[in-house]
Amino acid sequence: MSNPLDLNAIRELLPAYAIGAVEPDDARQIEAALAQHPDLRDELAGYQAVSDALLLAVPQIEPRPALRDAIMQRAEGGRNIRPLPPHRGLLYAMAAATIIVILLGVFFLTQDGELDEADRITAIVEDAAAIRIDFTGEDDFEAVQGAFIIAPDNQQAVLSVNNLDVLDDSRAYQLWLLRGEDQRISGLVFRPDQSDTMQLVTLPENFAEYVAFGVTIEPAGGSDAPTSSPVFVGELE
Amino acid sequence: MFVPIQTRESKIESAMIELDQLLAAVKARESNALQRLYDRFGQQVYSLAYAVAQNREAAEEITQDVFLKLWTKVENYEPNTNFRAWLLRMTRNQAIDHLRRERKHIEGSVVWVMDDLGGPSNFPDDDARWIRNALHDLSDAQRDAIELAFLQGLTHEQIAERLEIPLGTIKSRIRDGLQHLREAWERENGQ
Repeated sequence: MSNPLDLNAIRELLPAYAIGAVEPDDARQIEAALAQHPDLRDELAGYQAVSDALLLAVPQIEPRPALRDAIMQRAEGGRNIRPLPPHRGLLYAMAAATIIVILLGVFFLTQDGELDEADRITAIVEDAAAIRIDFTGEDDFEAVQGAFIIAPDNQQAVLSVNNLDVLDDSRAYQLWLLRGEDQRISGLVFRPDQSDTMQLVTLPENFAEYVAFGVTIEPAGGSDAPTSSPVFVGELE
Repeated sequence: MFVPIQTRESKIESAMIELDQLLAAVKARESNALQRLYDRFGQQVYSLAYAVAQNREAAEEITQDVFLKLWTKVENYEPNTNFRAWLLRMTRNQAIDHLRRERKHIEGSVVWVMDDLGGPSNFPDDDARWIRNALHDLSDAQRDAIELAFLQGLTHEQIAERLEIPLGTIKSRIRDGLQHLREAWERENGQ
């Protein structure tokens, strides 16, 4: 966790905050200061205007006419996506890929569950109404950062984490959901095979009563209660 | 017969009224209103998506997602605020999320290089010209750092790690560069 920022330091970070370049912990401190200091909000407004102007400062490229049709088809036809005609340069690659797709067909049929999960993760992450709680790692896990993204219906969430250590076979990460001092349940046991991961979490029915979440390192298969210090924690609002 | 010339202010007011009507029509699920919004803003959305993703297929996918979000969640737009900025902010967020999901790394700066800042016809309207000129005035180092933050969604620490430059240097470059752009914005707005 970063050191507390004084007002001068926060003022220095306002330009970067306006374009989303500050670390999550600094962003939280800046937001707390903005709530208390109207002059900071006025100053930020100027940098937000710059940020909005930067959105226009990219070379303009004409999209293909087919894009317009694809958008209207999606809008009028619900969420059925009709793919755009491929770029000419892709046709040869697609012909070769067709053979590979056929050979992989059986493999993908057995992976239906994984594809559904990936779709669900994407849907939650992209949902503008989802609640996002950013976090950074504790103590020895300072490089860890991520977000707990809760679907609006409180039934599922996505745990998105970067810079995790890849664990050996004897250990796993375990997500805990806390309802009070001594009330916790296990939300998930996971062993990602790379340092950045997104995990789908099924939330308990009374999720609104939970106040915090955290992840610890446990023996493979998980534990009944945390046996190590947390890798990261976060507060649920 | 004397026909009054439409002033810039009245043109803006007409455009805003038309926009309000189009957004109301989108809310009422009139698809021709979505078509007109695409005709008006589609190129800007696509261009920003491409600037972030650096890939035409991805830019098309992101543009589709943005307009579908507009179609299904137009109520998220706060009336009487800058609609174009709201739409393009949503585009930038979608595009950066795409980069993160795909774990794509665009090496170095590719958009705000000096060559690309030329050509007045490349930019949508007068609103873009002052920012383009102001970007032109920044040092390469400042512009590169701001591009990595703004168009690739990187934080100070991530930029410092990517470029192998001290964190404090990156913070200074971004702060100083954005301060210069803000001064240009103040001059543009007579402040």
